[in-house]
Amino acid sequence: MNAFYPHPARLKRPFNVVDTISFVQTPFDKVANESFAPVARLARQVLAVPITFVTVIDSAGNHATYLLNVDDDNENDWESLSVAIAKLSLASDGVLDVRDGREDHRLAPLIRKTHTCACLAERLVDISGDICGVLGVIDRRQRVWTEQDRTTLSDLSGFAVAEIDRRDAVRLKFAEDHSTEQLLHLAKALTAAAGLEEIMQRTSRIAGDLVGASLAYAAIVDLDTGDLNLHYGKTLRGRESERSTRLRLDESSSLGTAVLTGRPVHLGTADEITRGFPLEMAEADGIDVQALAAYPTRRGHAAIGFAWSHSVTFNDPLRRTLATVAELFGLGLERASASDRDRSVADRLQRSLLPGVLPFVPGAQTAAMYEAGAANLEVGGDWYDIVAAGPDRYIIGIGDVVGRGLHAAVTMGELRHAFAALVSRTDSLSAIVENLDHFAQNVEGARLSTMVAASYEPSTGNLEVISAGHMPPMVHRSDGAVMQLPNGGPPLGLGEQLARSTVKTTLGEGESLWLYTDGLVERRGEPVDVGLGRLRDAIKNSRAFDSSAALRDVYEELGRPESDDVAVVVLSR
Amino acid sequence: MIEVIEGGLRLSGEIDASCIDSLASHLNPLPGTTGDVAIHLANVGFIDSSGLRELIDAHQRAERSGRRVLMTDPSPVVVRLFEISGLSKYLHVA
Repeated sequence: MNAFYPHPARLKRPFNVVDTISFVQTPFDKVANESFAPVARLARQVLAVPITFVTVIDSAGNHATYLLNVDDDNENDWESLSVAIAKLSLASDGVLDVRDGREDHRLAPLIRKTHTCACLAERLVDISGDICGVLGVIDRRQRVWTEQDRTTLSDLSGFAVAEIDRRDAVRLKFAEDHSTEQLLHLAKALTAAAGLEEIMQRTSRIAGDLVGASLAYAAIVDLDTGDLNLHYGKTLRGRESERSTRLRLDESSSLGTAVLTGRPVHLGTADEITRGFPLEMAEADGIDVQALAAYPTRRGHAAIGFAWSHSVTFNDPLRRTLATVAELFGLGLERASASDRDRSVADRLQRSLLPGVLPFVPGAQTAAMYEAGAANLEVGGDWYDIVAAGPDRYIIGIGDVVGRGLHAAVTMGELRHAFAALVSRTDSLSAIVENLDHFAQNVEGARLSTMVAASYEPSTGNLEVISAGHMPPMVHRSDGAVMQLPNGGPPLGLGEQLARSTVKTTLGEGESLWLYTDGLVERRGEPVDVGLGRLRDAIKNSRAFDSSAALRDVYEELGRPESDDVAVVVLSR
Repeated sequence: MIEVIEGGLRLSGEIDASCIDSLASHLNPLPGTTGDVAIHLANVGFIDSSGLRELIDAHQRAERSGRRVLMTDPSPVVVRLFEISGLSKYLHVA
């Protein structure tokens, strides 16, 4: 695609149609462009012309053309002609009216090549006044275009604009559908990143594309200077550029505000930016900033910012995606900045892959632990996390990756990151597990991982639990009984669509949910039910009202396993 | 312990890291070229996750070539293990 419009800055249409699924790659892809055929056919009939075209243009000057009724042999000539006509009509006051193209030196060579003569074209302007393309008709003979012809073309332009808007909607839908995939891509990229620098680079590079932002900033607080270290990547349309800079950590910037207040900042229009943050840059790296967002990470020393070159409506799906990106960024940083305490590399990695701080769950207490096997120097692949999925919804995950050592720890990290990424993208618990199932099929070493995903609603205590081949979750009832929840289905990554059932129950006050990995109950040479029975008894005898104390009681009661690692998460209401 | 028998294998004792390589080599390639493969599990006291993985791999290899791996006569411990692991319906347990 060539950029041809002389003043791309005037074309404000954001993020648009040309960028659609296959339009750019194959401008002459007849199937992809069929959506403009009805308008083109209508124009041909009403105006009695042999050839019509629709050219779509985006804010970067990219364009693609749909031509009706041309022979394939001279496709390039036809495209050149329509582009030349489009250029001329954009450069004029909107309408290009040519009676005899042979007399117009700008068009004559192409007119001769295509054996055509007259043309009439009008630029397409959408409801917000942005130019989005050109509709043109071409005749093979001399023709004086009448007022009636002009009016007709103008009416048809309206249809073409509507079609472009529809395609925009399709594209946005497409982006929405693919953001889960992109989030998983980000999750994977961050797991593989080695240090702080790389985390910042990868986040800023990938995050912008995820939400259609022109720029994404990864910012972390420099504890020595108290400044914000900024790294940003510009990712749109392959024109990648990256830079690092510093910013004072105060409330004069959206990023600083997000870090200091721990709350996201949303500025949907240029006006809002000017009102809220008069010192915030209006132009960044050649981008005319029209909207900004800044999200703090869970632990607070960092934030991620986004800048758009168009206004933005911060609807729920977008907010969810932004929050997830911040979550993933935070997880990456947590891991990269893990302290140098005296542990083996693998153990350190494992601990850093697990959440440092569990989120606050309203009206509930949470406690979690991880312990490496006593007789084993290597780590295993146990993981857990609790992620807020909404004001009244928390998703708890726990899982076990087959195998041990560095590889298992890395795989476990990927699964946990993927889990965090999916939680805010996916409404149903079963969809989270299904997506992880799919993810596990494609990640080396994740096959046959087991997990439990549980969704908890603080206002009602309602619980939904799905187990994928994992040790049965336990619920400690207020009457002292311990209920063992049934298994939902097979482990992850078996490569087939296998149904897993969801168990629903309610956590009453004083009741608790126990999720754990097999190291807690499995002992050599002993049937697994014996271990499960021992766990039920230990829970029954524990201090149910204080989850950390209860967890300590149970762990002491059961003792450390010889070789396996242990992870336990307890949620008490 | 792993014994080769007519039409398959007989496992006994604890199936864990100590015998996993041997189990893998007996199951890949699958014994024989056609028909079902039987894995007798009556005397198995424990199977760890790596052992389960070998059984599932064998199951999947067999399915791909139009064959079946039958988990025959599993001990109560193994039955329970399959249940807990959500595998009782996935594997062919006879």
